[in-house]
Amino acid sequence: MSMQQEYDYLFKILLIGNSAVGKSSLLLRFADNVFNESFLPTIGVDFKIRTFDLNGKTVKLQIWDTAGQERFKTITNSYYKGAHGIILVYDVTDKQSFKDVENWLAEVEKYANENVVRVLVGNKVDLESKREVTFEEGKELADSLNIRFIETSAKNSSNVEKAFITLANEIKAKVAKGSEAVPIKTGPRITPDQQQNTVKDTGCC
Amino acid sequence: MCAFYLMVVCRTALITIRSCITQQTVQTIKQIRSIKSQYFISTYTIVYIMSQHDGLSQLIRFRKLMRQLPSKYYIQLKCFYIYQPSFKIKANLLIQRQRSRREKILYKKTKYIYEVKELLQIPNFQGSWMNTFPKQIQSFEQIEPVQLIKQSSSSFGSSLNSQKLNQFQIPVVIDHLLSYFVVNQDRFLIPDIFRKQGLITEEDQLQQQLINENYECLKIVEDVRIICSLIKRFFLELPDPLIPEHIYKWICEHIEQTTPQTEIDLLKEVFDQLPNLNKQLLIVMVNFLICVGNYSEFNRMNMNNLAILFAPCFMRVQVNQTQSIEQIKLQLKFLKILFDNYDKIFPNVSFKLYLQYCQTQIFSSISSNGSIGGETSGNKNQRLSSSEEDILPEFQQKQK
Repeated sequence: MSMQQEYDYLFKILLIGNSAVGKSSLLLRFADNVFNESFLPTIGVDFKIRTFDLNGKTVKLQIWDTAGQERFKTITNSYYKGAHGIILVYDVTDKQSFKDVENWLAEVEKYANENVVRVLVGNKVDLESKREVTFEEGKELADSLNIRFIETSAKNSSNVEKAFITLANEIKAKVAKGSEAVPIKTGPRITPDQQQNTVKDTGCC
Repeated sequence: MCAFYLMVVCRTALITIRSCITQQTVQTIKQIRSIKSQYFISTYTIVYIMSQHDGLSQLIRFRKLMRQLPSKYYIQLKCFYIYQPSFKIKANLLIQRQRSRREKILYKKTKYIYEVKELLQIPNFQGSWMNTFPKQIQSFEQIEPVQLIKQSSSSFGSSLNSQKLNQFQIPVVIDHLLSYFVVNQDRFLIPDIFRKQGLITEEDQLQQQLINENYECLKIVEDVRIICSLIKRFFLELPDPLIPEHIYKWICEHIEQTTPQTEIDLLKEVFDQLPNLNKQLLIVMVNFLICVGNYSEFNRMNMNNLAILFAPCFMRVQVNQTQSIEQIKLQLKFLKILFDNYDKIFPNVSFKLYLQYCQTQIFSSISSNGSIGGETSGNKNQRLSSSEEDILPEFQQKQK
C-alpha cells in the first residue's frame, strides 16, 4: 500500500455472514496467504487490498471484512454502500450459519446496490467430518438465487483464490457490459480514509 | 384452564386458539402467524370470545401478544369482533386506543357483539363452530388465587430501576440466565461461546417466555448459544447502557492518559460514579465473564475476545461511523483494564463466592419469601439445591 500503484479496475468487495464462519480467515488467506489459528472476532470493520492480473487487466480488490456480530450491525450497514461485490459466507459445519444466509441476503437487499454481484461461499470444508451442510444444499440455494457457489477452506487454502477471482470476473463482465459500476482508472495513492471517499464518489446509482 | 378463546376466521377455515394462563403464549403467536402461511390469506377476522373470569386482563394479554406480530397483521385484520364485552372492557379499549398507532387501528376495527345471531352474521362464520367453544368459558369455576401483581414493564427493554431484582440487586432475569451455567458447568466449555448465535426464532421465543416470567423453560433449553444471545440482548435492549453515557465520556477522556500504575484509580473512580444498580450488575457480569474466560482453552473465548463481544453491550457508541471504530477501541481498552484489575479492586468477590452467597441467602429466605418474586426464588432454591452438592466442589477445582 505504500507504493503508488496503477490499476485498471478497483472493486469494493464485502465479506458478510454470521460470526465465526471464517470471513476474516478467508480475507487473510487471500490477501496475505496465511492462516491464523488464533480466534479473534473482528471489531467493526477491517479491510485489505490485493491487486492481481485478470486477463491482462490489473484489478485491485479492496475487501472489507465486516463483523458478523449482531451488535456491530449499525456500523457495518453503512459499508454496503458502493460495494460492487458481496461474498456471503457460511460455515459448512454450522447449520445455523447456513440458515442465516437468508437474513444476510435481506440485509443485502436493504442496504446494497441492486446490481451488486453476489457469491455464496461455504467455508471450512477441511472439517469434513463435522460437516452439517452438504455441497448440494449450498448449490441448490445458490441456484435458486441465481448466484455462483463455491466451497472453500481458508485453512488449506482450497478454492479461496477461485472465490475472489470468480467474483472479480463477474463484476468485470458487468462493468464491460456498460452497467453502472464505474471502474476507477489510475487511482491515487490510497489511505484508508481517502479510500472510503473514493469508493463513495464512484458508487453506483 | 382456558383463559381466553378466540377464533380466526378465514375465507374457508376456522382456526381456534385457546391459551392457558401459564403457558402457550408463544404458541398462540405461532398459530396466528401460521394462519397466513397455511391458508394464503390476505385478510382475516378475529372473533374474540370473552371469558367470564378475569376477562379484562386476558384481553390485555392477548393484545400484548398481538403486538409481537409484524404490523402487516394489523393492516390485514378485517375486523376484531368481541363477543359480550363488559362495560369495563369497553372503557379500557377506549383508553388504550391512545397508546399507539397499532392500538388505534385495532380499536377502529373492533366491533362489539352481544347476540348469537350477530355471531352468525359474521362473513364466513359457521354455526357449527359454536360447538367448539370450550366449556370453561361458559362456566368458569376454578378461580385462580389472587395473582401476583405484575409490573407493567418487562424484563427486556426496561431500565434497571424498573426491573424485578433479586436480593443482590441483580435483575431476576439475568440471575436466571447466569444460573443456567451454574446448573451445568460444562456449558462454559462450548466452543465459540457468546460469539456464535443460535436460531433467531428460538431466541425470540425464549425471550418471550422470560418476559412472561416463565423461567422454568430455561431448564429445557439445550442450545447454550441462545442463552448467550439473550444475555447480550438484555444489555443491548436496556434503554440506557450499563455504563451510562456521561461515565463513558469520562472514561474516554481519561483512559488515554492512564498508565499501568493509575489503572486501578481509574476503575475506582468509575465504580464510584456508577449508580448502585449498574455497579452491582457490572460486578456480577465481569465476574461471570472472567469465569467464562477461565475455560478459554476449551471455548476459545479469552478475555480479549470477550471484551470485543461485550464492549458494545455495556457501552454505546455515538453513531458516527468514522469515529465509531476508534471509540470501540477505547471501549475495549477499558474493558481489558477492568478484566485485568478486577481482582485487585474486589479481591473477595468472585462468581464462585457469589453463588455460595446466593445459596445461603436462598436458604435463609425460604421462610420469608414472597417479598420479591416469591415464586421465582422458590424455583431457584429447588434448582440449585438439587445440584449444588456436586457442582460446587467441581467448580472450585476448575477455578484453581
